[in-house]
Amino acid sequence: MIATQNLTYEVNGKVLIEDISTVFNVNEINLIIGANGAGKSTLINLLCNQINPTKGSVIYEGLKTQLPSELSKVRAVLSQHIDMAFPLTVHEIVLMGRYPHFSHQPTEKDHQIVKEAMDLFQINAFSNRNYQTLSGGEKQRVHFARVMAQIWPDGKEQTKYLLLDEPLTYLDVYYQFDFMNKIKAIMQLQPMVVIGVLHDLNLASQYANQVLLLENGKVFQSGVPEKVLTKETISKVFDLEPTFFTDSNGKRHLSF
Amino acid sequence: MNLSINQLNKATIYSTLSVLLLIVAVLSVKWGALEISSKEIFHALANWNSSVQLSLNERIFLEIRLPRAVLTIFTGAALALGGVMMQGLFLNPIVEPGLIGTSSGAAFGAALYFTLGAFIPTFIEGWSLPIAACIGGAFATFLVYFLAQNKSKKHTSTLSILLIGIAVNALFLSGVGFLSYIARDPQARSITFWNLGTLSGANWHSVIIVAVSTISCGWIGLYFSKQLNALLLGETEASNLGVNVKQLKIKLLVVNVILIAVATAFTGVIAFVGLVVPHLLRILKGSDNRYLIIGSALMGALLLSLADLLARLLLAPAELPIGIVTTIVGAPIFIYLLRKNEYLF
Repeated sequence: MIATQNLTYEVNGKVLIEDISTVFNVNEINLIIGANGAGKSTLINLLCNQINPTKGSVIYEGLKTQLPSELSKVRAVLSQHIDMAFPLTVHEIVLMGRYPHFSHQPTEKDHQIVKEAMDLFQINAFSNRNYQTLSGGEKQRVHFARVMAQIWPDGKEQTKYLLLDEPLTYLDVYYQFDFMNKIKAIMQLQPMVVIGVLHDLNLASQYANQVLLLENGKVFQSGVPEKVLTKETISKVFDLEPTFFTDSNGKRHLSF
Repeated sequence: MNLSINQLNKATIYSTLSVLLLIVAVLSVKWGALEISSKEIFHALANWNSSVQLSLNERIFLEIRLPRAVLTIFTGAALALGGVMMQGLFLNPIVEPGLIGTSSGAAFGAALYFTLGAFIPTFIEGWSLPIAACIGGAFATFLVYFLAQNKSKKHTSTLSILLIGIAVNALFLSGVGFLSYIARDPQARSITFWNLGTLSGANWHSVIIVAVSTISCGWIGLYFSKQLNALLLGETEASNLGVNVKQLKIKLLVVNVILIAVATAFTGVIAFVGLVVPHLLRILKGSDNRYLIIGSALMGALLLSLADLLARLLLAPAELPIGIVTTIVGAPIFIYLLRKNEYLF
């Protein structure tokens, strides 16, 4: 479980995150939504200790130490977009996910996990490709495999943490759903806290256990999708009125 | 750009480089203004430190050619290792020790030592020259590093590194020029020595110091190769993989300064080795830093030995400053890289 207490972040007197106290539970997908500039990425950066809060704190419950070297064994973070100045093979990049787990040379187990992670995201075919030559969506899948290799199920009871900053940006529709389904599948294998920033409200309402709707650095509303994603909240926060309809399978959709 | 990365076997690359290095090293002790026969080489080696009277050729081999060949090997390795680590640190394939002030700062420190050496306490005798070079190199490198930082961009901007580097290099090289002008020591007086580099001053004392620094810094570099790889993803991702980025940067800068400054103190500024070697290695087998560090030590030693052989043979019995040879090869590659990587500006 990750908990924040009165989390506040200011830069040059401008308040980007204001007094957020919330809980992200184990075995739940927590999705953060909000308009541009609402503070979604800042919140993710605070949660993964990239920046230090002005006030308040982030607590990883059940971890003895929050040293970066220890945290990196149980927590993986995926940033928005990663460019590389040098040629590296896809395999080498996925192997980086195992770096926190071995000291100098990868073990047999590390290689096995890298292979399974690459299989999972269907990137085995370009294991030896130069990362720089991949398309945006292919690069994204390489990094999925990398962060998953970092927190790959190891049969232990230790909770794993996955933080995602707009993970689906470069993916086509097929892989957007594919990715969300794979996260759910991996969550069946070990205790996990998943926190992600998402723009697609339909995906959020379909996959989230908890939605955190941000406005101007504050939590406007949080809870299950049905409670948070309503006509009133969405028109207030996004300044655009949605229509809801239910399809023949009983699934709720919204459109603008 | 090739879609795939060559999957040459590392062992093949290392052993090929080692064999070539051995061949070039043997040639470079044999050939020169006069040729030394294999028989003389073996006789001299067998009677090293014994009281047997050696011939002139044998003494030239033991006291001039051999230390020079060994110094060349360690200097080439140091420059190439410095290139790999600096490029990894700046996340930029055009950075090399000569560009970011390390070499010129070290040359300035060393020239200052030669000129004002009498005023420096001698309790660390034998090591004061490399220490003076390290101080100069560190000063210039940190100056470029901090002035080129751009808070708004994640990459250190190539343009700002180049421009600040030009200014800092010009400053320190003109400092060297001034010191050469007022110096009495013949070595310090030779401005070509500092600006274009030469290995002609090699002796066993300099070989030992450069060897100790290169081997230990190279080993430390190998130790950091995993963190350097993680840094390729950018500082944020590296820290998410558990790397303490701030500490790593400071450590790497210090290791680099020692590596480059110590070599530069004895050889002057030799440009472009640190640029060309990592580039060639990346063409062979990508950018895994563990491979780059081992490979660059071998290939740097090989290329500098080759360049030194050329420098001695092209105008024999006269000798070209080695920096001219490395620049003729390196400058076009540098221009090519700059043009190819326009997107990094």
